[in-house]
Amino acid sequence: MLEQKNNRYLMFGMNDRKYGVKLKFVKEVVSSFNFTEVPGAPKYFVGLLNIRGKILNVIDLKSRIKKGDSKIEPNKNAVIVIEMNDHDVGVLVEEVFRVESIEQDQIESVQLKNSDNKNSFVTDLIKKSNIIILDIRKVIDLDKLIQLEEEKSA
Amino acid sequence: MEQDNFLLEIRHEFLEESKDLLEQLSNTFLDFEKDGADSPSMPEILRVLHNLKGSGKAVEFHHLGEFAHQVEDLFIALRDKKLDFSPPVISLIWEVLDLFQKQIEALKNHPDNANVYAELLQKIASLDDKAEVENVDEQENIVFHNIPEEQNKLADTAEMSDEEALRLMQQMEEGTQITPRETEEKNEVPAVPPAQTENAKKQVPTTEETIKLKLSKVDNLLNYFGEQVILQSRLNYLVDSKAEQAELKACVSNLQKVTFDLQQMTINFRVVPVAMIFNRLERIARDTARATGKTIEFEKIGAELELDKTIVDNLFDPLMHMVRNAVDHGIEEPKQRELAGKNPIGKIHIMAKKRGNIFIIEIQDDGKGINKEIILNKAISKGLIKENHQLSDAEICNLIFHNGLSTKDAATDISGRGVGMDVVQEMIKSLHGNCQITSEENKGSKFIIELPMSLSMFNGTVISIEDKRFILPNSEFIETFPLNDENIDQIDSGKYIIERREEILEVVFLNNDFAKNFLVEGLGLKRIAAVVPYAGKKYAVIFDKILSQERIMSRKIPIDVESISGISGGTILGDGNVALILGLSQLIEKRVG
Repeated sequence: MLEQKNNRYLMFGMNDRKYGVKLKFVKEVVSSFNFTEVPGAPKYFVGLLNIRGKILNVIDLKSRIKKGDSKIEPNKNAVIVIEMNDHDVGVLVEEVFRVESIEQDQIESVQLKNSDNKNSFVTDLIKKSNIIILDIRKVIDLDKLIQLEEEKSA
Repeated sequence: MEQDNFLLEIRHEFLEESKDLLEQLSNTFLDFEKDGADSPSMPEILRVLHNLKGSGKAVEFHHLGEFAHQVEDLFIALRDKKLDFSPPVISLIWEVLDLFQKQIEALKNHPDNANVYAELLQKIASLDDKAEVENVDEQENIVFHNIPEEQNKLADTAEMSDEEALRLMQQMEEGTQITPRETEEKNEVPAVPPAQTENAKKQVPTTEETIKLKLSKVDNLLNYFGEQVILQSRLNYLVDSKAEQAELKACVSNLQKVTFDLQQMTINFRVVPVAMIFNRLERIARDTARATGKTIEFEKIGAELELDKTIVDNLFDPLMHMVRNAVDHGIEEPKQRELAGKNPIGKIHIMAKKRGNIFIIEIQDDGKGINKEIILNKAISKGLIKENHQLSDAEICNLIFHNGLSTKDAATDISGRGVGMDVVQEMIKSLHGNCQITSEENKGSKFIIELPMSLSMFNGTVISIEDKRFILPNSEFIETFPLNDENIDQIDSGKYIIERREEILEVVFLNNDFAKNFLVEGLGLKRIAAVVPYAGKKYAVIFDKILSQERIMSRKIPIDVESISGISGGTILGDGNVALILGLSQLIEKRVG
């Protein structure tokens, strides 16, 4: 009974669009925070955050997926803490909405044009509402992302 | 499968324990070497070897166990005067101890392999031949090569001398943990079918490191913790009952004290005496002296002082290189020393001491010292410095920490194995310490290493640069002083310098990465400089303000920011925000190259 259902998604907003991530990857959502910037870190890296004595990396999702930089508006922004294999990572988003259950038959998997799918963060689309489902772990995976950037610049 | 896991588990335990045992064995043997075969430490050595043999076989490291058995016989022959305690025997024993140590590490990830031991076994065997050892009983089940793998071997090995060892153990008053029962148990280890053994042999999982703690330390911790819980509930009560401010304050200050003590106590769990590495260094020094035909006296001071285990473990390698260098390059050959009017016996002196919260290790030799001419010429020919340099003696000496400046032209087999002083410096820096050298020709050299007492907890200065706060570890700088315009000058190369206590400091700005407007134009403002030693020179690192002095609990930062900007870690300040810890020497290295 307590087993988490796989069809629940946390919905959040960015650039006037709605996105979703699988709830099972979400550890918590933090709404009040104070980042510590790291000099010389990549641009998408917002800073470090103390969550109950643990230091967390926070990345800016918008800047990460090349949609510009998020304006930090502490009243609206939120950090979604994502559970990764070795450590948790915070993802700064513009706005967090709510958790929704989506039935499997409403989900359509996406095959983006002009991109080989293995590097894409976008996995699925919810029919009708056009909510984009992100493979959030892929977004975060810094090593792979850095590789990606190198490939592009090469 | 359960048996598999069981075997892996006991193997891991065995390897951890053996590490300690071998440490002990090396130390004991140092005494033994001085006292000879009648040494009071003989029973101790035999006990350790016996334990290695028995436990080794019990966890199915048969080759290792067999090897220990042979070595044990060798010592028995020494004790019974069937074998002379001659220099070749001594050096053979050192080789044996080295192999043990190497194997205990190797066995963590590799199967036990008979070939590793073959050479030394043969050497031991040839000694035995000469001495005509009559230990027929003990040699009954010795096979030098191709020791069979079968399990049933387990039952009948090691029996003969078990009784003898038990007797030894009983003789020994100090209650070591080995009991007769345990020895019996070893023989009861169930035989594992060969197939599973193969499987288990592949790997002992690399589990976390362990340390031994005195029970009293843990009890003490529990007591303090209990006190903290009581104070915490008192605090809750005071808050709920809206008590007077004064009462609250008293309670908070008590709580603070207990928390501080708890912190200290927990950190103390991590400390070990540096004697551990000092003894190993003595061995290295002696081995090196023997290999290079020199005679040395090795003096250890302050070996009982304790330091964080991680630091101690990581110190061994750099210190080893320094000691080797001191013997190999520093100390002259006996004849040369006599010609120079010195005692033909060279002196190596290693000292640990504490200054405030800083741990200092000095390695000093009375050898020929650093030839500054050679260093200079080499540095110039490599383009490291210009010919018209104006380096002080200290700076010249510290050039040896530069990559590729090993002065002994033909690298010797002893210390010239590709690891130079630059690596040594690197290793010390990674421990948040710094390393300086002073040297006088014909009188010797002295390395001074300054380290924080603990990696996880240190005294730091909270500073600000514009609106950002950073931590400077106190072990990394000498002093701070307020800047004013008069003492700053710009020199021809565009660099800024400060004269301070008759020394010239080069100014290092924490520029763009750290603060946007923090550049030269800010010099007139009231600012603070921290004096940081680096490569024999002193630098002034400039920031805005000193905010406070704090005990800093270092936390890991989850990404590898260290490579980015001279940041060595993070901490959480009283207000709950994260502050970054500056690695000053990395920072200077980055700025000045």
